[in-house]
Amino acid sequence: MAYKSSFTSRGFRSGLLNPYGAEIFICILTSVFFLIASYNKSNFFINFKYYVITFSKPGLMLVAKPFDITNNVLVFLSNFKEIKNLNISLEAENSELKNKINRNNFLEYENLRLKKLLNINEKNYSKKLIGRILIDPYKNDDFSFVIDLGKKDGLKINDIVFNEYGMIGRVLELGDFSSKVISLYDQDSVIPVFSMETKQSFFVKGSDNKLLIKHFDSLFSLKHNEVLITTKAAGYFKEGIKVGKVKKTLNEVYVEPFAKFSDTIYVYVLVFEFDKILNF
Amino acid sequence: MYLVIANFFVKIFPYIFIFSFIYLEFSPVYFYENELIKPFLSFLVIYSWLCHDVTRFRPIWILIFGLFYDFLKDGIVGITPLYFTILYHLQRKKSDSLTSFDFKETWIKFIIYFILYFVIIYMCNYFFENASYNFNKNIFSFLLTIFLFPVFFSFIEKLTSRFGKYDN
Repeated sequence: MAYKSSFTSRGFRSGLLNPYGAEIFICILTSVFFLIASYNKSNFFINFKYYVITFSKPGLMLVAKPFDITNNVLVFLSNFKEIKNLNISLEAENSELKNKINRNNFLEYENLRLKKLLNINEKNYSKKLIGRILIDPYKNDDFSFVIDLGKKDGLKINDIVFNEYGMIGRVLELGDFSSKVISLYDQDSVIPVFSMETKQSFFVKGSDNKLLIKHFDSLFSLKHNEVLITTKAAGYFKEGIKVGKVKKTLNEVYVEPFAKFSDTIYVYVLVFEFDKILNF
Repeated sequence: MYLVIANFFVKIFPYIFIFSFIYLEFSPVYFYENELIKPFLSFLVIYSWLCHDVTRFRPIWILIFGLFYDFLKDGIVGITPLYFTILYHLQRKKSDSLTSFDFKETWIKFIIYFILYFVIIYMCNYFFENASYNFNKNIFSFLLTIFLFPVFFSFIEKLTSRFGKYDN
């Protein structure tokens, strides 16, 4: 007797409650359910996937460990090839730095001998005070602010106000316990500066949102992004405080300050102690 | 006692074997950012096992393997268990659905079923998930899987014959 191969011929035994048929049916149904759930991205599916991956993570880490070790070994070996070249460059750098240290030591020694010859006793002419910016309800411009240091703290007109980024401004008016500071952006602010790369001295003047270069003809000889520091021109300013960097466009050259008084509520003030200078 | 442990080990080994291959396939993907060229190891192992010893697993286990595989693989979940359930039923219904006496014919059948699976996965992820496929990577993985089939097929053939002896 011949049987025609059909869905129910061998895999299934006929009957509605065939366990194999029911199991296959449930499997297909479950697969279709997950198919629809993953397409709809239902909360159930997302949570289920999250739990499956969380549950399987230790196993994945365990299996990945040999891959990780192999990868690290390969990276180590590839770096190992470069060690010789790296060593050569480091030795050259080391030798160069040793020469610089020797040169520096020599200059320090020479400086000491010169001081002795000239009989100079070094004194610190300035001190650094920490002040706080006060809220001024009567303020009518954006280029000045008030700090809680004044005459009683030893402040004088033109003392430099700065923060960790660089110079913010200078003291304009003095009270006993507070002072008005004019920021670099103010049109009345003119600061003597020195360009670090091109070694040029000139002045920068505030102009609302940038600083303009004054008393310097060849503006385009300055380098883009070179740093400007204060100089002690006219004896007012302490030298070496960063002011800003040079910005060059096609038709203008200006300076962008590093520091703003909105950076922090605390500022430093550099106070000159002229008494020491006079005593010297 | 020894026999009980050995029997238990024989019983659970195929499940551990398949789960470890699923882990092996996906663990590098979870820990390396670069797209890896990897063969479809789990597909190879499950398919080969269905070819040699379809009665070893119940359909519910095929569902679990497929779902676990799909959950670890990013994209639409449910295609792999559905596909393997159908293959399982085909093989159980007619033992020469996946295999044949001539190995070349078995290999060709594998290639056809694998292309079908590959295309279904690709189409589903393309239309439902808007996933971007790295064509070169997938072609390499595809070819690598086809070339590795004889190795896994013969390896699992040996395993199933060994387990068949233990069962007897």
